[in-house]
Amino acid sequence: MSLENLTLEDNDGAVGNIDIQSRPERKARKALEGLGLKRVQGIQRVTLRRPKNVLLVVANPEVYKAPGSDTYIVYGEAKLEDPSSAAQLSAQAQLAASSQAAQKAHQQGGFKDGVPKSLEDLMAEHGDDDGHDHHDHDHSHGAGDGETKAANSGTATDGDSDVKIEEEEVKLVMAQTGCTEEKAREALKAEKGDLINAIMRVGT
Amino acid sequence: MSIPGFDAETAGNNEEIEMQFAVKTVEHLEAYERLISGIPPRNLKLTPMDNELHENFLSTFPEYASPEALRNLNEDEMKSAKGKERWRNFILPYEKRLKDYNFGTLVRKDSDRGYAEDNSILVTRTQFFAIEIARNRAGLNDKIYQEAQAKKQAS
Repeated sequence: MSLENLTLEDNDGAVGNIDIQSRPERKARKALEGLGLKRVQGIQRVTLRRPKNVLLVVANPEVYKAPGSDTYIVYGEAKLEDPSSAAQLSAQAQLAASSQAAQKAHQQGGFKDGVPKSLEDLMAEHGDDDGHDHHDHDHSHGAGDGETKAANSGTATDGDSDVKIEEEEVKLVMAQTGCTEEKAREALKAEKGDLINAIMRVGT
Repeated sequence: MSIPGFDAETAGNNEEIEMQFAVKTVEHLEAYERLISGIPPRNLKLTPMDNELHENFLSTFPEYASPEALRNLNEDEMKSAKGKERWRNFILPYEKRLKDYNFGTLVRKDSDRGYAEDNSILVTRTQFFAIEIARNRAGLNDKIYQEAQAKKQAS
């Protein structure tokens, strides 16, 4: 967590970026989605350090963890950051902006209710905001796998998401895995009626 | 947070991620093997569009109408340049419609035998479905089922 992440404008811009997915990214996501990766919440910045003090920074990344191993997968735009100059510059800009804002607020008769008063408030607000963002993303990612796929691939037919689930298959899944009817139905729905995948889903 | 001993220039694919794919593949084949050992394969439905897949498969690959070709897959032919091209054309229309359509999946080379190291071919999920649906309908997996049932009764 660093100063330059605190501005809300920054945040908005980054969220806009996340929505645009390049073709290779979509492909990679699709391939990795099948592994049952777990989303890691609340990560706002990932930095990769390379030799000679070069920093690659991913702001507002989407981070996933492969269950059962120490592997993380990070999506997001990596930007070069030269810590010595860039950080100083942005910190200065930050300082100038915030002191300007403070002056403005003073001119308008001090801080009003609803205006963040301190760094802590700013952080809390930012945190809230972030939470919402993640939440939205979760919806498009976790809730209905089928729908995510459809959304990701863009042209997929909408009818795919409400596959007809046959009683017989529900019973089969139940018989194979010993789960409840509800669970079996859910798994079949999530796997778009793919019998084997549904059994695997219940099993894990 | 630099990682000692890690050089991005020479790093290959992360083994653990590769492992995850392998684990998925094996889970899949185990689930399928349990299925055909547990219920009569003739009645098995694998996807919501079995019929369509099957018809398309037989019209695209008429040679698989013969049980012999289905029973014993010719891997060399499937993976020859020409075979790959034909399969690719068969698979692509399902990209949007079949879940995990190109996920690596193991299919048994010889349908009379169960999964074994020397009896597995890595194919895409769509190929797996096409071949196994055809095998189930042709009754080629009945043998596995009957053997499993006989074993169950014996024990």
